[in-house]
Amino acid sequence: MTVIKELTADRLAEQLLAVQEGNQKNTRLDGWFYIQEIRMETLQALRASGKPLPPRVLLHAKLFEAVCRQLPLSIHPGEIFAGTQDDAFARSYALINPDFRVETFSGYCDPMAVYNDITPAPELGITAERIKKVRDFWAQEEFARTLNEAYAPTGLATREAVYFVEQVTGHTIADFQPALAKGLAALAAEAAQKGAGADGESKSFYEAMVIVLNAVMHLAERYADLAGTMAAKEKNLIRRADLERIAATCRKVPRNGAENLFEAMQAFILLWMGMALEQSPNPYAFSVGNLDRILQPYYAKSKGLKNESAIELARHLLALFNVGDRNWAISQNIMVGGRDELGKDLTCDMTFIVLEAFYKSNYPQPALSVKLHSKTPKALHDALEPFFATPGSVTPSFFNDDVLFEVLRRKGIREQDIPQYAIAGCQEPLIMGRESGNTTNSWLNLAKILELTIHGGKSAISGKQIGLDYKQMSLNPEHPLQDMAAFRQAFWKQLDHFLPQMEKAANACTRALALLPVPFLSAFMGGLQTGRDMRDVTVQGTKYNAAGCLIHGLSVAADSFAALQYLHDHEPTHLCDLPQALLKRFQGYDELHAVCLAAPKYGNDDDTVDAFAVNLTHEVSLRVGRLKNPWGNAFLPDWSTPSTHLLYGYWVGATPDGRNARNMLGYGIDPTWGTNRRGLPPRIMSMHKLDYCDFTGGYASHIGLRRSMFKKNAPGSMIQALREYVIAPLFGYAPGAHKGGFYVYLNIDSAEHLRKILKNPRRMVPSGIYIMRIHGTFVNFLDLSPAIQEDIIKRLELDCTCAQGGI
Amino acid sequence: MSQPAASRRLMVCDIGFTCDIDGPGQRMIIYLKGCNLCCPWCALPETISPQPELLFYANRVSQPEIAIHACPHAAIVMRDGQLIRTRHICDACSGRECLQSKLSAFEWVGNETSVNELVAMAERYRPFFGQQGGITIGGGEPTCQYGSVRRLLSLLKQKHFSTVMETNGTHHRLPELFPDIDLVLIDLKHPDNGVCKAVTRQGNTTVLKNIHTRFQQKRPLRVRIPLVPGFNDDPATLNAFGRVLSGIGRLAVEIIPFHRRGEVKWNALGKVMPFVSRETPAPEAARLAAEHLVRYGLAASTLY
Repeated sequence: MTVIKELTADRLAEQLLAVQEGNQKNTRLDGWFYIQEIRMETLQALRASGKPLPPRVLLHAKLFEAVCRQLPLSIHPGEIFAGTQDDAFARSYALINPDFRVETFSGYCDPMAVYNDITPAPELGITAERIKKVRDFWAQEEFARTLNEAYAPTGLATREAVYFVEQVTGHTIADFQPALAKGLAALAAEAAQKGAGADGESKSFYEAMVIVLNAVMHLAERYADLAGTMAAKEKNLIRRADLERIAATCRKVPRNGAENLFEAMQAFILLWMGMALEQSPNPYAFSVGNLDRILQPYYAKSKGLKNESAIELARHLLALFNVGDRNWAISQNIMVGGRDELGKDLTCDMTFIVLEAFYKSNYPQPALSVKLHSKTPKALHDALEPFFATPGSVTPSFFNDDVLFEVLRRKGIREQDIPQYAIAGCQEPLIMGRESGNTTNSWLNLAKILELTIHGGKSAISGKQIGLDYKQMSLNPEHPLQDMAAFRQAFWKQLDHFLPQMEKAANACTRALALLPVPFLSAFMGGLQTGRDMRDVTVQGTKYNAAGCLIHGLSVAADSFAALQYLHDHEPTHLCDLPQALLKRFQGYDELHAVCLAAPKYGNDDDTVDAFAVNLTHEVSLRVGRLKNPWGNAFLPDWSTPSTHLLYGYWVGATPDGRNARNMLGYGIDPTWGTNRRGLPPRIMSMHKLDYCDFTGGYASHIGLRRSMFKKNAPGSMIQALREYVIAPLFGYAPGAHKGGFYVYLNIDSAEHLRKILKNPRRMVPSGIYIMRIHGTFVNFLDLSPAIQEDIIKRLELDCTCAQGGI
Repeated sequence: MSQPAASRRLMVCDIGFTCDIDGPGQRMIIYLKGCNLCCPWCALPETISPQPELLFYANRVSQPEIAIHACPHAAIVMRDGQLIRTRHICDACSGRECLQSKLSAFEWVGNETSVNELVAMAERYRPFFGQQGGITIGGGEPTCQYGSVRRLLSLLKQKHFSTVMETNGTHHRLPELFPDIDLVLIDLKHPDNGVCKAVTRQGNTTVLKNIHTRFQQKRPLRVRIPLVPGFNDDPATLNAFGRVLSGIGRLAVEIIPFHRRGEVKWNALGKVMPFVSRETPAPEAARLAAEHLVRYGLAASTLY
C-alpha cells in the first residue's frame, strides 16, 4: 500500500501552488492534435498492411491503444498524482469561452472546426503542413462526411434556430467504482471470459474492451517509468519521494484495487484520463457523480491520514479538472450529499472534505452540486455557509432528492438505481454508469415557433419561408390572430411540423456518432454486462438510454399567449395591427407596444398568464416525449437554456409579450428578465404551478439575490436564511409548501457591484478571478464576453429575479 | 357579533415582500393608504392620501404625443418642452381612460381589499416566512384604518402569523392593538413636540406615550428615527433624542438615513417634494448617530 502518513497538509498545499502556476503557463493545448495524428498514422498503417480491417469497435480500440502507448507524457512540478486531461482538450472547447459572440456562434457541429484552434509552432515541430495533413485526412473520413450529411437537410430551420441538433459526446457519468475496488486487470479478465463465450459483435466488443483496459494499465506503467526516471535524477529529497510514490502507486493502480485515499485518487485520475483521451478533442461535460460516496471507502481505510491532508489531496484531485490556463466552463460536474431510496441521509466524511477542498481552491472548474433533501443534516448546511458568504466564491447548485426521485421514477428508473443519479454536466439528472442520456441531442425554440405561427411560416428576421404557411395552419392570412382558439391550434400544428424534422436530424447525428465507438467508456457504462458499445445504435448498450431536448422560450411564449388573449379580450382592434407591428419591431406602434408590455406576465403569481405556462410545459413535454431515438426510446424534455436563451433570442423577431426583436428569451423556466416585479415569493409560486415531474430531462432556474438581503437579523446565519426563505419554500421543505422544484442555482451579488468590478477589475479583483455561475457551471466573470456579462448583471437587477430588498 | 362592513375592507396601496427590513425574516408587507402626517421627506408619498389616485411618471414617456392622446380630458399637456399633468382634472375624472393605454407612465394606486382576502394571501405565502417572518402592516399609517386593521391583526394572530406594525405612533388607541402585534416599529421624527407638530402636522406626545406603554408591557418594540439632514441630525437634537428615549428605558432604536428615492413619486403625484435638501446622510453619519444614542444607554443601530 502507498505510504501516506508523510502527506502533510502544508506540503501538499505548497505543491498545489506549483501545479497552479504550471497550469497558468500552459497556454498551448496541443495534445489533442498529437492524438489525432497518432490515430491517423495507426489507421494508415493498418490500411497499408493489406490485411482486412478489424470490426469498427476493435479498430477504435487499437487506435486508443496506440494513443496510450505513444502520447508524450509528463509530470509537472508540484504534481503528486500522474495523469492529466489537458491533452484531450482542444483549446477553444468550452460551453462559454471569452470569444463567445451571440451574433456568430454556430454550435459545435463542425468536427473540422477544431483545427482552427491550433496555431503552427515550428519550434515544437507543429508546422502548418503537419496540421493540414491531419485535418485533410480526418475530413475525408466517414464520421465527418456522415455528420455533414445529417446537418444538410435541416437548412434554414437550424440556421434560424427553430431547432438545433448535435451529436452528444459528453454528458455522461462513468461509474469507476468497480475499477477502483477491483482494478482494471480483474475487469479485463472478466471481459475476456465473457468474450470467449460471446459471438458476433459482442465478441468484438469484449475483445475491444480487453485491449482498451490493458491500454490504460500500460499508460499507468509508462507514468510509473517516467516517475521512476525523474526520481532517479531528482536532487530534492522531498520531491524525489513524491516521484517515487507516484511510480509505486502507478505500478499498483488502476491495475489493482485501491487500498487508501491516495491510491483511489491516483486510479481515478488515470481512469478519467483514459476516458478523456478516448473522447478527444472534446471531452466536455463528463461528470463524476457523488465524489464523496466514491471516495469514502478509501478515506475510511486511510489510517493515519489527517483530515487537513485529505482536504489538500482532494484539492490536487480537483486540479485535474482545470485544463491549462483556461478558466472556462467545460461542464464537468462533481456532486456531494443526498439520500438513499428509503430517505436515509448519505452525507459522509468525504462530503465535508470535498466541500472544503472546493472552497479553498475556488477554481472555475469543476462545477459543484449539492444534493439536498428534507432531512439534510444541519452540519452540511453549515458547511455551505462560506461559499455564499464570500463574494466571488464558487457556490454549489442545489438538487432536491425528494422531488427528483419522483421525476426519475416517472422516467422509468428502477428504485435501487435512483440514488445513483448524478448530474451529467449542468443540471441533467442521469444514472451514474447506467444511463446514456444524449442530453443535448436536440434543442427547440418555442418563441421561434410562435413567430412562425404569427407570420405564416415566414421568419421575422430574414423574411424567408421556414414553416407552415397560413393555409397549412388553417388561419386567415388577413387576420391570423382573430380567433384565439384557431391560433393556438395553429401553434401546435407548427410545432408538430418541426418536431419530426428535429427528431430525424437528431437521430442522424446519433447514428453518425455511432461510427466512433468508445469501448473504454462503455466498460464503465454497463458494457461489461451488455457486451455492447454505448453508442451502438443497433442494440442498447446501457441500462437506460434516451435523447434530450432542451426547450427554449417558455416565458416568452406564455407571456405572448397571455398578451394575445389580453388584446383579444380588451383591445381586439389592436390584434389586426399586431403582426405588422411585430415585423416593424414596434416602431410606430408605441401604443400597442405599451399594451403588450402591460399585459400579465408569468412569474407574478397571476393565474391568467401562469395557466399558459402550465399548458405549454405540459403539452410540449408530452409531444417531445413521443419522439423516439434510434433505440426506440423517448426524447426527454429538458427545460433548460445553457446561455442559449441569448442565442435563440437573437434569431427571434419581436413577440406579442412586448419583447423586441433579437432580445434574449427567458432563462430555463424563469420569467423573462424584468417581468417579475413582485419579488421572489410570487415568482416561486408561479413556478410551482408547473408540474416539475414533466421535466424528466431536467430544467434550469436561477435566483439572483442581493447580499443586503442577509444583512440584518438573519436567523443565525446566511445559509439558514437561504434555507428558510428560498430553499425550503422552493423545494417544498417548509410546512405547508407546495411539493417543490428540484433544481436551482444562485448568484448572490448585485448588479451595481458587478458593474463596479467591470469598471475597475484590477482594483476590485486583484486575483483576476471572480467566480459567478452561469447555468450549471462556474465562470470567471472577468473572462466572459460582454453579452454574457450583461446577462448575469441583468438577472441580478433589483426589478428582475431578485428577492426585493424593500421599496 | 358581526363586524360592520367598513371594518372588513382596507384601502391598500401595494403589497410586497422584503427580508429583514420590515421586521425579522422574510415578510409580506401590506402598504396601506392614508396617513395623518405629511412628512416633507416621505419616501412613499402615494400612501399619504386615503383615496385612490393616479400617478403620472413623465420620465417614463418616450413618445409625448401618445401620453397626451391617452387622456381625452387634456390633463396631460406639453408646456415649455415638458409634459405637465393637471392634477385637479385627474381628481375629478371618473373615466380613467388613460389607464386603458397601458402606458407605464400612468399608475393607479389604491385598491379596496377585504381583510379576508389579505388573510388568504398571507396563508398562501406562509411557507416563505420561515420561523421568524410573517406579515408587516405599514403604509401610510395603519391606524388611519383603525377598525379594519384591528380586525386584520386579530385574524392574523388567530392563524399564528408573526405580525409587525410600522406606525407613526400618533393614534391614542394604538395600545389596544398591541396584544395582536408581535413587534411594533414606531417612528419618532423629532424629540421636540413643537418641532414635530410644525413639520409633520402632529406633535409627539402621544407617540412617546405609546412607546412608553409598549415598553412597559415588555413586548418587542423598536423606535425608528428617520435621520434627516438639517432637521434632526445635529448633535443637540441627537442628545435630545437620547434624553427623551432613555427616559423611557433601554429602548431598541434604529436609525434610518434619509434618501431621495421618493422624489420621483412626489413628482408623479404632481407635487414637489417639500424637503429640498440634496444632501443624503452618508452611512457613516447614520452609524455615528447610532453611536451617539448608545451613549444614552439605548440599543441603537442603523437599518441599512
